Amino acid sequence: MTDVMDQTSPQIEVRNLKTYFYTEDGVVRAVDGLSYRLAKGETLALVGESGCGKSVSALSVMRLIASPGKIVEGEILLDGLDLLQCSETEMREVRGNRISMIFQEPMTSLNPVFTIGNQIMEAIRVHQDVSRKEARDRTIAMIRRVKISAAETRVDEYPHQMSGGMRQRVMIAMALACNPEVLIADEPTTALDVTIQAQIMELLAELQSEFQMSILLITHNLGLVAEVSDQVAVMYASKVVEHTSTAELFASPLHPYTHGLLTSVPTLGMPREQKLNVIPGQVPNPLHFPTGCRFHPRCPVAEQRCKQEEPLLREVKPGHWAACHFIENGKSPIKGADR
Amino acid sequence: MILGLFGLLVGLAGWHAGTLWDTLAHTLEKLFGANVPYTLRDLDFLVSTLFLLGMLAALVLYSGLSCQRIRQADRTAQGPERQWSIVKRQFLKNRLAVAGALIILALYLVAFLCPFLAPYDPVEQGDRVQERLLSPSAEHLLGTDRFARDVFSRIIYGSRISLLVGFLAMGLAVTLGTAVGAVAGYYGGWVDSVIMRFVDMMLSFPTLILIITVIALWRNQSIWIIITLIGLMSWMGVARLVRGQFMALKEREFFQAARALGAGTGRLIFQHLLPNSLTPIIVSATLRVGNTILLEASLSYLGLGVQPPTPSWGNIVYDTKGNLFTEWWMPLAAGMAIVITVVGYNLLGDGLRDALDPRLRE
Amino acid sequence: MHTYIIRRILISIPLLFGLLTINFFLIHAAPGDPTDIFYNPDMDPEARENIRRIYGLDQPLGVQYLKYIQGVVLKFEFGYSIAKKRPVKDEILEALPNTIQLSALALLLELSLGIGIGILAAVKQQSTFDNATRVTALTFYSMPSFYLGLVLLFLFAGGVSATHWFPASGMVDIVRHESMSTLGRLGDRAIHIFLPSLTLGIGAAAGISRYMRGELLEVIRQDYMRTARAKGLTERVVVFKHGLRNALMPIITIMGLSLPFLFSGAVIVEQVFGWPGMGRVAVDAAFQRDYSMFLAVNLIFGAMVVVGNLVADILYAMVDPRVRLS
Ligand SMILES: Nc1ncnc2c1ncn2[C@@H]1O[C@H](COP(=O)(O)OP(=O)(O)OP(=O)(O)O)[C@@H](O)[C@H]1O
Ligand code: SF4
Ligand SMILES: [Mg+2]
Repeated sequence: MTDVMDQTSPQIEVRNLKTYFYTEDGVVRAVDGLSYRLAKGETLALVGESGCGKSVSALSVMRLIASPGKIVEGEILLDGLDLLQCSETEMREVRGNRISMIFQEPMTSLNPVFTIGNQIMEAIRVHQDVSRKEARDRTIAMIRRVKISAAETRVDEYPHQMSGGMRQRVMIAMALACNPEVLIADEPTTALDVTIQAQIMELLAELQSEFQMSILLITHNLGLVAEVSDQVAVMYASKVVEHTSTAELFASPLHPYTHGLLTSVPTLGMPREQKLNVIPGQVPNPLHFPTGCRFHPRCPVAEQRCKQEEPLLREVKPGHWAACHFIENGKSPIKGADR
Repeated sequence: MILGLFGLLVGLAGWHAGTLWDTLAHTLEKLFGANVPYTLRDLDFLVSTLFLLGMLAALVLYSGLSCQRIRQADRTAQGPERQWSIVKRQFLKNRLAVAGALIILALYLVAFLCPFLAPYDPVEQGDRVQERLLSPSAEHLLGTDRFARDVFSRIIYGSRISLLVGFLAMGLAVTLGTAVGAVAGYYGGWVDSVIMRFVDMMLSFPTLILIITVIALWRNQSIWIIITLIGLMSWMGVARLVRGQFMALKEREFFQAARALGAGTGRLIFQHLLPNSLTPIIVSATLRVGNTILLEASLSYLGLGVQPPTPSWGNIVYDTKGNLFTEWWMPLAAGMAIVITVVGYNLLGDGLRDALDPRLRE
Repeated sequence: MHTYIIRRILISIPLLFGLLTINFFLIHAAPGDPTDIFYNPDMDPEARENIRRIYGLDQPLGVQYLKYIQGVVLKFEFGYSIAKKRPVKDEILEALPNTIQLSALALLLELSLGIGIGILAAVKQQSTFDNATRVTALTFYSMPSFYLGLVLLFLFAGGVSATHWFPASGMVDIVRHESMSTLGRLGDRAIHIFLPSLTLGIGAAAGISRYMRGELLEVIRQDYMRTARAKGLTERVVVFKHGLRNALMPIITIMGLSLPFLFSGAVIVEQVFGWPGMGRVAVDAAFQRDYSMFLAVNLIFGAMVVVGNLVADILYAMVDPRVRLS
């Protein structure tokens, strides 16, 4: 991943990030050697099974990992600036200003005792030296921008007076209030119902072009990935196992895990009698990862070597990175995977 | 099964006062003669404590068995074996909690073995002229009081009252509270409203003053009345807890499923709701023991609790508080005994809560 | 909000009546009779009847009950204390302000100490300070108030002569108070109330600090705290603005619920420090079997608890928008 992926320098580049939780049961390696890059103005989707470390990696970028967690190694470059070398004060300048984040749970992510206007204004006023009046005007403008009607009255309402979709819009308004370069959206629509999901994603796409920002989209939903992202990074057991453009990934997934992931969801026009592929076995426990390739206990094409030697993420094809011993000449070890 | 246990617990106070117990005790006395070191009162304490410990063990066993049954119905729940081993490990790792458990264990031992540990008879008065208000010495570790009784022996015997009151009053409070809370939580609606209003009202009484009222007006200061009164005034917290627990459990899938399958009220309550509420009940019961002990001590301190010459820590302080500025060791040592006991129970309760509450388990 | 408050007040009224009714019948169900203290075995029955008639005890219980309610509601009258030979009202009016003074000061101590220590312990979770305060709080929480009182008495009011700083009992120096200047009198009152209110306050503060710590730790785990940090706020603003406000709300309710314990504690502490308040009245009544005094004491303590809870609920509604706006 050290090679230049495209001509422009990336907005965010994560190199060999390791975030561990030192619990009583042992060291939980929630993120363990993660690398990806997110180009300017693009959307990178981070996908993977539950518990593979997506949220922890996002919080690591914000440097919001609390004890017993600790970022033990790696680099997080925001336009060349290594966030892991920043002081806490410098980091506060970054949070909410250059990188913003929205969370999975809109119902609980807003403070119940402050008005939404108050909470959005707070984000503006920590980073910009503006009067209350101006901050309020900008807050109202922001609320309008995320398509909440009657912004002038809504601004003084409390979170409990709004629906889930509405609250997620407020979260977006808060995140975008300072016009950040990067937005991290951690499963922004999982808790919402389907029609609202579509509206929120549409809104995000609109705002992305308007604000010229890069989005790191964390999701389970492969349909969403296909629709909105430019690049995809597939995570398995605290690491990225495949990283390429969305079109390429869906056309020719090279890593056996990605292949399993893609065939485990029904697609439109799939013959009805074709069986859905379920990846056998269990998601590995981050307390004790398997040796060698962490996917080997579940991999249909694993061999002896996989148990001993850990595959590195390497460029197996121009613009296509994957971590598997048996990808040769840009061909997946699984037959028929790369159509 | 649990109904039977409840019945036993509720009937306990009456049982003690009743003739049944007296005949039993007299028979025992006849059997062993007068030379056993235990007096009738000792046996009284011994048997009721054994009885209660046995009942606690039965409760735990019952909850374990029920959990197993529930687990089959509710796939999401963790198995009891795994659960218990985690709890045990968490608890043992908490040094303070283990200390609490050890304190309580030691106190029970002391209470059981009073006749062997106490150097003197706790109520027998010595020579009022020469042995009165002696300072601590090798013969009288904590000196003697104004009736020339050995204070150390009195404090050792005093442990019985505190432990007995703590356990029985808590048992009564928890039983009552569980029953009331279960009815309110299970039926909900207006039944719940009425019951909860009543609970609110009970919570508005300053407990101590109401108990003083009853004791004073009924002219009865027997230990059993005191235990019953303390129990009757301490159940409200448990009722709220159980009600909340039931309300939450009623929303869970396993309960809905059981109801859909046509399980009756009794089955739903005793096999599904109650066993799943036992953990918080046990924790709050442990934490409540301390409060009941404090309440009894306060009554005794006011001279309205257990009557002399029977020693209780509270009435030892009451008896000797006039000597605070001179023979200070007497009231302060007796009070210290109360503090240690209550601290022990609270440490144990805190430890249990931390070990049993999965939210706090990282 | 207004409807909430009105409804809440309306709920309190039957509560007060329930309190009165239960107390009235409980006390009248007691064996014996308030006039028992006049009796001697060779008193002739007619004289007994006369005494009973004087105190209205010959009337049916229902009538007595209604009259009692009428007296309490209309004139704040609680009958006549046979033991004290004066109206109950006079006795109460003398004692009640003293108890309120003591309890209010204790409440203040309870809140400031309890909340302050709770916050510090939560913010510095698992630190030496946290562990030390947890054990200390648990110890004070497990201590009977009379014991704490006696220890303080022993240490600072006579047992240790080097630190004999405070008087052992009473509200004022009986001998010299009258001859003191205004400032001197104030000082005299202060040194007299110090130990009792400290005793009462520390015990309660220990409980509150345990709750406060727990609540704040609970709040710190909430999602909105992460949101606040993600905005770039300093940790101080996150904890003290976003966290504290949420953590304090349940404390208001707990405060209201802890009032009965505070008053029960006051009874004991008044006894220890010879404080002439309601607790003393209650204990005297116990030893003299003063029926009407009991009824009044129970009612007044009950009413203070009900009103305290009412105030707590209204305060809660004012700070929690989820209640205020529904
Ligand atoms: N505070 C913590 N202490 C200990 N382990 C943690 C902590 N937070 C997360 N983990 C562990 O880190 C791993 C990764 O968690 P993470 O939340 O990043 O998963 P995820 O990929 O976001 O899953 P999901 O899709 O369910 O949100 C999990 O195994 C989790 O148990
Ligand atoms: S390295 Fe081996 S086990 Fe891992 S994905 Fe490739 S083939 Fe499967
Ligand atoms: Mg996640």
